[in-house]
Amino acid sequence: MFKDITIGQYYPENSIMHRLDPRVKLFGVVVYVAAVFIINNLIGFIFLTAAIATLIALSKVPLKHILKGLRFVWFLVILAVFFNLFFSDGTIIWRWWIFRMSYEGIYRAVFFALRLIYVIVGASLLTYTTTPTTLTNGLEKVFKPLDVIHFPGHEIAMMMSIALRFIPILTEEINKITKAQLARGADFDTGGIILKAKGMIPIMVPLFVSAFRRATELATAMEARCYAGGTNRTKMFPLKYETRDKVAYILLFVYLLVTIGLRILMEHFLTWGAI
Amino acid sequence: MSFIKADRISYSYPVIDDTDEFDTKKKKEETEKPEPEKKQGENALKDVSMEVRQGQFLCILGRNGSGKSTFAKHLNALLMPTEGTLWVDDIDTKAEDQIWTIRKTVGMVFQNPDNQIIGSVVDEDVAFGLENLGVPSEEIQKEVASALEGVGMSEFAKHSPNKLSGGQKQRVAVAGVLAMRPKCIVLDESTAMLDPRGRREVMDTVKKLNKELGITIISITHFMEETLDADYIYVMHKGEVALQGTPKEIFSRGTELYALGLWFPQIYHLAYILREKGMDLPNDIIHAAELKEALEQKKK
Repeated sequence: MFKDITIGQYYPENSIMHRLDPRVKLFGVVVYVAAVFIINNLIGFIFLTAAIATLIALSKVPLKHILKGLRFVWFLVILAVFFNLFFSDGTIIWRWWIFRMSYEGIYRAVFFALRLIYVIVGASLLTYTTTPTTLTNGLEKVFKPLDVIHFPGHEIAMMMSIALRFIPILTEEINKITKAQLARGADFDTGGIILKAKGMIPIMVPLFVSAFRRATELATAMEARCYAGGTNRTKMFPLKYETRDKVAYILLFVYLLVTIGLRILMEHFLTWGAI
Repeated sequence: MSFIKADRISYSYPVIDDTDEFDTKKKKEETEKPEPEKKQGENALKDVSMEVRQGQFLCILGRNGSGKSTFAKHLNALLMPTEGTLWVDDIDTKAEDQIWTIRKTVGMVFQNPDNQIIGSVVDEDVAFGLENLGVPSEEIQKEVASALEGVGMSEFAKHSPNKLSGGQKQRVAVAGVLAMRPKCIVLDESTAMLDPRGRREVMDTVKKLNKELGITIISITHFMEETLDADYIYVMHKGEVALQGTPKEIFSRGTELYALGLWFPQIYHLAYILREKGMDLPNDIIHAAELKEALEQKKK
C-alpha cells in the first residue's frame, strides 16, 4: 500500500533540467503555478501543455514515472471533481435529490482536475530533477533576505531535506511493521472505512515511536559532526548562476507575460473558448 | 602525556521529573520507603579512569547497559561528566568554548547507519561536517575526495546512501568523520547492526586508518572477535572499569569474563576445550595462527 512512492523522489539523470540552478527552478514553479491559475481559456491550456511537455522532455524523466507518481493524488482529484460536477449552479441539465449538474459545472470540474494535475506534475518535476540537498541550498538562498525578520529559512530548508531523505527509510519501516502486525494476526483488509482506519493504529504507533527514536539519534549524530545551525556554514558546491540560468529566467518572464497577455486578450476581444 | 585521559569520571542521566502538583505528596511518601535497586539517579558511570595514547587501537568491551556508550558520548563532549574530569588532547571537555575543537578532534561513528547519514548523496553527506565548520568550498571538495578514497568508497561518491549495503553506509559515516581530519575516531557499536561481511569491511577500514594515518581508534563493542588485534582493552561492567589489559591478559582471565556477561573469542574457546580434555596448551592463545603453531609443536 505504501510501496514505491515515486512522487517527490529524486530521479537521477543527466539533463539540462537537472543542471539548472535550483533558484531558477523554484522561481519556475512559482511562475508555472501562477500560470495554471491565470489561464482561463483553451489556447492558454494548449500553450501550457506544450510548455510542460517540453520541460518533461528536456528533463529526460520518463512520462510513465511521472504519471506513476500521480497515483497518490487521484483521490484528491476525484473529490474536487465530484463537488464541482454535482454542486455547481448554472444552466442545469440534470437534477436528482440534492445533486445538480450544469454545463458550467462540467467545465469547471474538467478544468479543475486538469489544473490540479498540472500543478502536481509541475511541482514534482522540480523534485524529480533536483536533489534534496540542492533544493535545500536553493530554498536557503531564496529565504536569505528574510533573515532580517528572523525567518528561520535555514532551519526550514534543513527540516525539509531531512524529511525527504527519510521518506524511503520510513516507507520501508511501514512495510516491515505491517508485515510484523500481519504475522501477529492483524487484519487490514476487511471492514468498513472506520474499521480500516482503526486498523492503522497498530502501524502508526510503532512508526511514530521509531521515528522519534531516529530523530533523537540523528540529532546526536548532527551535533557530533559540529552542526550548530545555519550561521557560518559553507557549502561544498555553492550555487552559482550560469548562462543557462540567466536564459531560463528570461524565458520564464516572457512566459509569464504571454500568459497574462493571453488572458487579457481573451477577456477583452474574444468570447469563445473561455472557461 | 596521554591523548585522552579520564580521571575518575562519573555520570548520571538527568531524571525527568514529570510529577504534577497533585502527585507530589503521594510520590514523596513513596520515595521515603527505601527502594532496593535502580534508584533515581543511579550513576551510569562510576569513577571511570582511562588513558589513551595517540595512535592506539583501543577497545572498550561490555554487555548492554555497562555504560560503554555513555562513556563514548563523553569523548566528544556530547555528554559532560557529573564528577571528575576528562581531557581530550589536553582540553577539558567541560570548556564550552572549545566544544567544536573537541568534536573536530574526536569523530564519532554511531550504531545505526541510517540515522547518522544526513545527506541524500554520499559526497554531500561526507561534506556535512566540513560545511558546519565553515571550510572553504574548494577545500571541502578536496577533503571529501580524499576521505572517500581513504575508506575505499570513491566510486560511490554520487550514489544515494539508501542503495548501499550496511557496511558501505558505515564506511561513508567513517569518511564523514575522516574528512574533518580527526586525531581519533570513536566507533560506538558501529558494527552491531551489520552482517559479518560488513563488520569485516568496517573493521578493516579503521585498522587501515589506524596504521597508515596514525589515527587513534576507540572501538566500543560486544563482539570479542573485533578486539583481538587491539593494543589495549577496557572491560566495563555496571558503569565501572572491571578489567583492563592487552587482549592476551584479558582473555586469559577465563571464566571471570563470563561473570561480566562476555564470552571467550572462538579460538580461545577452542583451546580452552582442548585444555579441559587434557591437552597441554598455553593459556594465552587467541589467534588461529598461534593455535595452529602450538598444535604443530605438539605433533613433533
